[in-house]
Amino acid sequence: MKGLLKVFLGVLTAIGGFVDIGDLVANAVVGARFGLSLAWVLVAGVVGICLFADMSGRVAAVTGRGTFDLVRERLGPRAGLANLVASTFVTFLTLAAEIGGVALAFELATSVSYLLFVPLVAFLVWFVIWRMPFEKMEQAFGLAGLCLLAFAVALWQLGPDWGELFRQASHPSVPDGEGHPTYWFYAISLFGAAMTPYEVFFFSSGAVEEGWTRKDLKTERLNVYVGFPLGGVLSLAIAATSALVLLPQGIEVDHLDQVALPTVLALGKIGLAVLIVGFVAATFGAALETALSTGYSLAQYLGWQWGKRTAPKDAARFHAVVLVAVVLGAMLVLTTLDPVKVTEYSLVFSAIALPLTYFPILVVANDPEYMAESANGRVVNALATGYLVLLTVVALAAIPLMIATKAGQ
Amino acid sequence: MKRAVAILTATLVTGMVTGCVSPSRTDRDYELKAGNTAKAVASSVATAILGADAAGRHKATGPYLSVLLGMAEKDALAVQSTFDSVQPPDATADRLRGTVDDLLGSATTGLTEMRIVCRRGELDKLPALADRLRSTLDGLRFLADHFQ
Repeated sequence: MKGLLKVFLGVLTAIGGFVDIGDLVANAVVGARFGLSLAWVLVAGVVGICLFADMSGRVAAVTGRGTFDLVRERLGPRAGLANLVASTFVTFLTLAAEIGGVALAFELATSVSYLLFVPLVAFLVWFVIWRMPFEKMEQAFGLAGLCLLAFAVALWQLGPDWGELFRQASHPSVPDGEGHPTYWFYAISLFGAAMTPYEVFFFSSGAVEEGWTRKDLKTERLNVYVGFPLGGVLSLAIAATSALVLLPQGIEVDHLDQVALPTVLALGKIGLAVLIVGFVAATFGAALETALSTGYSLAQYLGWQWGKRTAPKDAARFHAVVLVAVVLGAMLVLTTLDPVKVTEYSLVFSAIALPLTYFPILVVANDPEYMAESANGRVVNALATGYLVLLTVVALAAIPLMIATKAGQ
Repeated sequence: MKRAVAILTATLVTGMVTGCVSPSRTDRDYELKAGNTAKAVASSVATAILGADAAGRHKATGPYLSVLLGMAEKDALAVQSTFDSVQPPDATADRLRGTVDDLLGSATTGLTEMRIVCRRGELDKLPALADRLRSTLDGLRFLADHFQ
């Protein structure tokens, strides 16, 4: 049991990264419009995030320091600042959307307007960060997030033609009535979602919070190779349920309630209840991740004391940044900006910030002064270089495709 | 200088006022807008019908259905409002506008009835109301396919 609990940092990171409010809706949108013809993007995203999360976790375990701390030291303040600005902007947008996402999940359970829940959710996010120990936090929300496996159960219950699903996934094509630019816009959004920058900041900073050392490299790998593929499986299950139920009806997914509809039809009220718990856990977990990541990156860059393991009075500036981010995020959602739309755009901005995030990690993970015998091997470097080229192409294509397709309309 | 400011202000105000309305200069453009409108509202109606199906089989809770139907109605009303603000270019487009408007009116009225019944807790009435929307859904889908 103790061994099982050790993987919850990876599970929570992946659930936040793969099935936060924007991803929940984006995966359902993709399933309802393209079937499983974009499944290959999820596979590419899972491989990419495993590659770079493993690097950042290894760096944290070997050096005992956070990613931003090392990036600033190794590449200098200017390169670090570009990385900091780009990723903090995306992370803050995502935090605001996640606060709205938790409120939307409460609305599904109560039918009370989500806006009324926003201040309560913001308070709870801050309170959990302030009071709950890191290990308990990751276990509680990682475990509750597993309720989203209801999507996989619903998929099985819907009795799909597995051969047809596999054919769609293995023979990607643009469906009739959809244009190539829209197809590629969603491919970039899904890829950006899978590799969103805050995942690696949270994962590596969480490794430092948990006090990982070289001895924990096995645990680090277990977290990466269990957590992130699990997030990918959940994403695929969401897309597949939408492909089975919503696609034949020509339903365009815009809201969280529509994401739940196939599971409701397959599993009934119990399925819905489990799913709502999963929605709350996943979006709340993502809110915790993004709020902490904002504090982690700024504090590490500026050389402040940081972390939940440090007493708040000794890491006052770190906690102040987290508090301010949560308050500003709640205020942004209270303007009635649609949280789902906010994350849809943040996924595209995330795609733009990808090379800025992952290049420095690759540099540090190759530096023998920091990593000694734990530096990257040739195979990892070849793969990572290939991914960096891909990330650059994705970053360059993101904005033109967003404009050309009116954000996928 | 004052004149430049006045021209700029007039341009901005004109842009703000007319920018809200999407113009259609040709019949084809208007038909495409009608097709997209029908497709979007058909999506809301289909969502509501699936929700009613779940209600009929006691698979969904009242609060969930209330949100689902409320959102479907809100989306359909927003699409209807946008379409109504488009200027039809000629008499042919006027006729199409009449056909689409009839279907949109029927769809939004049906969705509103479903939302009201749901919020009164009379979930067992939803399948019957959904059945009445099926012909509207067929009409919307026909338009959406015809004017792609």
